[in-house]
Amino acid sequence: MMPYITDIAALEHVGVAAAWTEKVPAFRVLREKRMLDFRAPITVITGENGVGKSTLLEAIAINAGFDTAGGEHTGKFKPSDNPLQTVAKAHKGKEPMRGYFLRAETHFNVASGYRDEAPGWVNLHHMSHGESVMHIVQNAFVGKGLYLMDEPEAGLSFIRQMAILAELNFLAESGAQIIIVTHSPVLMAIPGAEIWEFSASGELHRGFDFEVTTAFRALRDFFEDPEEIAEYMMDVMMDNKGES
Amino acid sequence: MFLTKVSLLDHPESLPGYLSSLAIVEYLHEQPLEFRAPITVITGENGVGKSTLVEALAVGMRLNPSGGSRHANFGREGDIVSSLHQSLKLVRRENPRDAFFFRGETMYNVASYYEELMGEKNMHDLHKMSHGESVFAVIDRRFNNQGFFVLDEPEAGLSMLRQLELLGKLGNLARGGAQIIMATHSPILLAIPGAEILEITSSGVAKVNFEDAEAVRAAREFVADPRGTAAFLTAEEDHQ
Repeated sequence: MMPYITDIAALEHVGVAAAWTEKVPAFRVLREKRMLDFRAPITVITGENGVGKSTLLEAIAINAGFDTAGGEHTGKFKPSDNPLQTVAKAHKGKEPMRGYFLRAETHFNVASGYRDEAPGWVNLHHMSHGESVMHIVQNAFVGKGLYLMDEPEAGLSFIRQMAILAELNFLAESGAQIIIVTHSPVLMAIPGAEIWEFSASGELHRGFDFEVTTAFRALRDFFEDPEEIAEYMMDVMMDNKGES
Repeated sequence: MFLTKVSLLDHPESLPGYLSSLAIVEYLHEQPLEFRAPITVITGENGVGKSTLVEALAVGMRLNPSGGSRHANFGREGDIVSSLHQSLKLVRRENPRDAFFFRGETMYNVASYYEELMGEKNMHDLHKMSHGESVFAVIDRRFNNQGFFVLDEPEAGLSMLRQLELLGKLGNLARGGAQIIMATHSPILLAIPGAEILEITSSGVAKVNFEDAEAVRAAREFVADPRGTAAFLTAEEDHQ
């Protein structure tokens, strides 16, 4: 039984404003299985761009009472206007909710909001994006709590990603629950994490070794012969419109 | 080739705050930086000034500092763009017909901006796409073989497979006549054929081969023994 969020369950009547989620692979999986339970202190959610990883994390976050824009859990946020409320419900564990929701795409705007006002915080805008993520993980991710992270690897070097791996492992060992959405093979290798990989065709593979993830295999295969793979990708993309 | 050389006009000590201590600024004080290849890839640890440099080059080429084209005009509130561009001299062989500054970290704002500008070359639909799709939509619609393109960590939010596709896309643009200057941490993007790799470290700036770049060596070591690496990282941890 996980201490902060035990599972996320599909709701029967999805609101009109959230009807689009029915086409999103991760939500198709949720509807089919009715419920996805968290089995390890660290859950790593991965899959190709567009499978709905970030949206699923957002649904978990607003259910746990985090502000849609991300940031620390204040207990004040009422997500009544977020359409994802009608899609899924997260069941809470025994521990009183606290923690942090680190968003990727809007992180920049959260940093703008802090300015010089936040007590004890250096102004995040004077740092590079990667540095500010490191700063938040090292300073706002403290002790027990639910920590939700959407692609924290953005803007971080491999070495910094390794430092994040160590920080998250330490947090989980101290009783925190962590749910992380990532493309980073490094973060998938956090010891003891349970991996969920969503496919574009609406399947979920969970609980397997990170060596089997698409991301890890792609990186490993690339390093078998980077030059040849680079030339191959040039050919593949010659006439390709990458939007589709 | 459009931008061929950049040099520092002012003494580092006259630059404000943190700029004066950046490795890239100290390097430019010693000698100009020349761009010889159609793709220049700038790499290095967080905090060495990669993004500061490409942002200054983009602004020097009159691009919107938060990303976009020469005509894009938006920013985040209280926008903090470093003043480095004011101290740089850019040598141009010719002016590009098209130019675009792609910033991975402000992609969301770029999408919002174009969404408000309905009719702006079909760019208003970016928010309806996944992040990966929107990155490729911008490149397909705004990048071409005659232009000058600056990218700051475009790998942000892209899967490994999408990064491989981006490699192919950018490689073809450069082979077709475009000039690309990109800051990245991605070992995949460092492998773009024909790219010149500049690695910035605390001790300076060096041209390196793909295999010698720190990002490549770190990723190679991890891939060779991921479990051993993770065990080492979690055992060595020293928390107060």
